[in-house]
Amino acid sequence: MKEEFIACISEHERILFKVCKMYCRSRDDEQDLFQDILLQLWQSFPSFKRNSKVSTWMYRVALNTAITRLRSEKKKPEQQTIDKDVLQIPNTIRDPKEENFELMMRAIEKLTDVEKAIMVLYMEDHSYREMAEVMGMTESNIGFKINQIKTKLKTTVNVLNYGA
Amino acid sequence: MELDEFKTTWNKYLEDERKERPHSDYINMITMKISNTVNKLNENTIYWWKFTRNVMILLFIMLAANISFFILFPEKFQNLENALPVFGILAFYALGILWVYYEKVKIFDIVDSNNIRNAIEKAIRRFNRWYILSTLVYLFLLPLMFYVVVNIGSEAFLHKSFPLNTEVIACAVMTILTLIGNHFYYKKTYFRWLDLLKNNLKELEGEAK
Repeated sequence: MKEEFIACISEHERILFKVCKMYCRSRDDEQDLFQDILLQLWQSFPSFKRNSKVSTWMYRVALNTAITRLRSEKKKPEQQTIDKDVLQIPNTIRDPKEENFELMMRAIEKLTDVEKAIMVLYMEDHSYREMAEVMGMTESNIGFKINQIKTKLKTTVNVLNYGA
Repeated sequence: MELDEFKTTWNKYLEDERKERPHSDYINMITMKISNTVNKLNENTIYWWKFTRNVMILLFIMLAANISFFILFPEKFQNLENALPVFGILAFYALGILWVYYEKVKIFDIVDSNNIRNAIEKAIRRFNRWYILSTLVYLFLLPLMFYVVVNIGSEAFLHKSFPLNTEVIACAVMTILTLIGNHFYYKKTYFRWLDLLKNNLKELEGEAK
């Protein structure tokens, strides 16, 4: 069973990678979440009856773990004040696409855990039915929530843009 | 940037990050991680299960042996009359603490959950149940444990015994202080997490209406 489990995880490891990236902002936290998800997957592997797709099962367990886990309260690194001289150095030309991507990432950070879970599934092109199955919501509510997330992200990106 | 455009960039970004590491090495690392974690989990589970089981067996054997000796040879083991309640309280205290520990582990078990909403509901329900039951267990066990500590401590270190009233008041005060301390510990460790879960559930239920 161990070999079967390892093969299954190796085939779909990008799912764990994506969930960890969405919910964590530091490598240490990613490692912790990765281990937590792995343990939950291992524990639920014997009862997985293959009624649903392996990827749906993995998303369900991974997102359940990411949302319900008890996060350790680690002290955040102190924010450093920026030297005035540094601000006078002309900005290096950056790819606007890259800048927009960073803004979006910052906007995503501000989403709730539930919204992040829907985002992960949406990014993977899951159907509304699969998303509803994983989240425990109706398909129509998933659609409503996705529109809400889109508006929220747009607003946050605009606010961040004007603030910059 | 629209969400659909972001989706493409996000997938590319994740793929690039993954490609930083050689594929076979990355798979090996994951495989090793899984094996290590699973082995460690099994070892820990087996070790702690054996340890707790043996401690409990030992405590109850001692209790049973003492009761038997006391019943069979009451004249030879007169002091056992005092020792028996102590052994009994220790054994039940250990049992209570173990129960609280294992029930706590169950809170974070999401294996039997069908979806995120279900997992959150179960985690909240299990935490509330555990919090109430563990407080009740402590409320019952702590005064007994403190009574044993006060009784043995006063005789062993101060070489005198206090009146029953004083001992009862001391035990009650220590129990209340410990329960207050426990409450603040839980508040610091779990209550913020619990609030977060309740908010998530509200969000999921709000959308379901």
